[in-house]
Amino acid sequence: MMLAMLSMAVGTGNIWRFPRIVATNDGGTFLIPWLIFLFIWSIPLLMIEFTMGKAMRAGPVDAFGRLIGSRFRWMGLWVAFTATAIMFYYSVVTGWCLRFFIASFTGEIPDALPGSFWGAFEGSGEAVTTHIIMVASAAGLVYHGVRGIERVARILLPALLVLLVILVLRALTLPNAHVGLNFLFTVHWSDLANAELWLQALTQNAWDTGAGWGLVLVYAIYARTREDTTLNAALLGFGNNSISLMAGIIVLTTIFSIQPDAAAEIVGAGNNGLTFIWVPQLFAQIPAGRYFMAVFFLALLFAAFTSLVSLVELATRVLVDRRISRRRAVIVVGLGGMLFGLPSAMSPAFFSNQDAVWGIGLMLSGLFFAFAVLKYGARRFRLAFMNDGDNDFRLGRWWRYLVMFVFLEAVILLLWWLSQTLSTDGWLQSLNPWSEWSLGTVLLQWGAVLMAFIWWNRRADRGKII
Amino acid sequence: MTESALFTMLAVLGTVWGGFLLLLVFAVRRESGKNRKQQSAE
Repeated sequence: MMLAMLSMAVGTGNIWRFPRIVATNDGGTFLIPWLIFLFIWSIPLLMIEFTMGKAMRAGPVDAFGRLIGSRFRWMGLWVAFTATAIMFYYSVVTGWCLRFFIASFTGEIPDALPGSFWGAFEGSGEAVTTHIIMVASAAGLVYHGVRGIERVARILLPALLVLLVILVLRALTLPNAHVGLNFLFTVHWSDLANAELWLQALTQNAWDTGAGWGLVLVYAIYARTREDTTLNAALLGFGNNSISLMAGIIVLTTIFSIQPDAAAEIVGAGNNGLTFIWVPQLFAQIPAGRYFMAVFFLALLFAAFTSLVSLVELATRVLVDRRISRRRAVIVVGLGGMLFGLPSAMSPAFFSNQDAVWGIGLMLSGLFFAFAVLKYGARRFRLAFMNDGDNDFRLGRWWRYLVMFVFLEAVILLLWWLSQTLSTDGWLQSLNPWSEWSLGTVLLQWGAVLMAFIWWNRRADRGKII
Repeated sequence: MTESALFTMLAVLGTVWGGFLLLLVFAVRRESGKNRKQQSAE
């Protein structure tokens, strides 16, 4: 169970997204809120998700309905939709992994000029093709059953971990590696007053661990009754953050070692392909690196693919719970994934917009999970579902305060970010909904989705739609 | 490497990697203990 969940949660969030986000958010300064959120955001939410899935034995929509009443099912739908909206561009990233796996065979990478292969590939017809291949494969696998992929993942996940350890050791012995480490671990305390840094840290920790995605909830539906939810949540959180730190060390020390003069500019640019550009450069510094690189991208492809399969499964489960046949549900999710992922495959700007909007959307998902526990009664939730015979750790009264804190964190962070953005960028610029990254684009997309879901919930409660 | 960066590195890696290893050892020991108990009961 734990291995299956680690395969689901270890993916490109750790290896592709973390190095990019830590690089564009001031390195070591970012690590402080990121680490704090492991304890006060990700682990409590993973515990809630585990417990809700195991106790309710239903997908996110019905789990919310059963716990706090059917008029709150729209919150579960938001959780599932946010994960699905991420799936639309996650398949694009999985496609990148496929292309780089092939490129490692054909010798197209490592390129003489770092980034030239990535530059020609990003947003091209090839990126669209690999996106379509990955969505079709994931939907096909969900339709036919996931047994085969679990067996492959059982071999490739440990292989990926071993390769990451080798890469960390090699990266640390590169010339000028200490400059990269300085960047990654130097804290500028005054920068902690920036609300967006905290927002990005929370979002990235949720990306790393899978907290608030609803995926752990769906996995927990199939958990054995004696599964220790508290221990599993902590293991999942710490395990994923460990891998993220390894990826950060690998990518950043390589950049600072190979291009020391341009490193500051490279890490600040926020290139989506940071890992894809620089990991091949590191493999070039290792004996027989080309073969190791092929294994690395194969393992990364499977790590991303297993996460993509989980996302397709989650969306399918929501439709099946609405009494749509599994076959039809998989077809709808597969075709929807292909169609709505196309803009992200073709346009790096659209990709970044979606990554920002739905990444932060995870914070709202977390807020809804915390709200559900508080509405049900944190004490009642703890005694009925958490402190049962299966858990070694007994949760005390502090659990209630922790859940309240999770709820407040999201509210305070949203308000802080709102006020800071409005005061620094001004109303007009902040509220521009067509900008690649602005408060306006977030509010417009969230607002449209929330209104549609609340409308659906009201109609469904009156029995007018399913 | 600067002293402050080294301190942050040790604190962050110690917490995350150290925490993970401790939990992993605990989980494995607990699981094998449970399995042993189940086998002897059977």
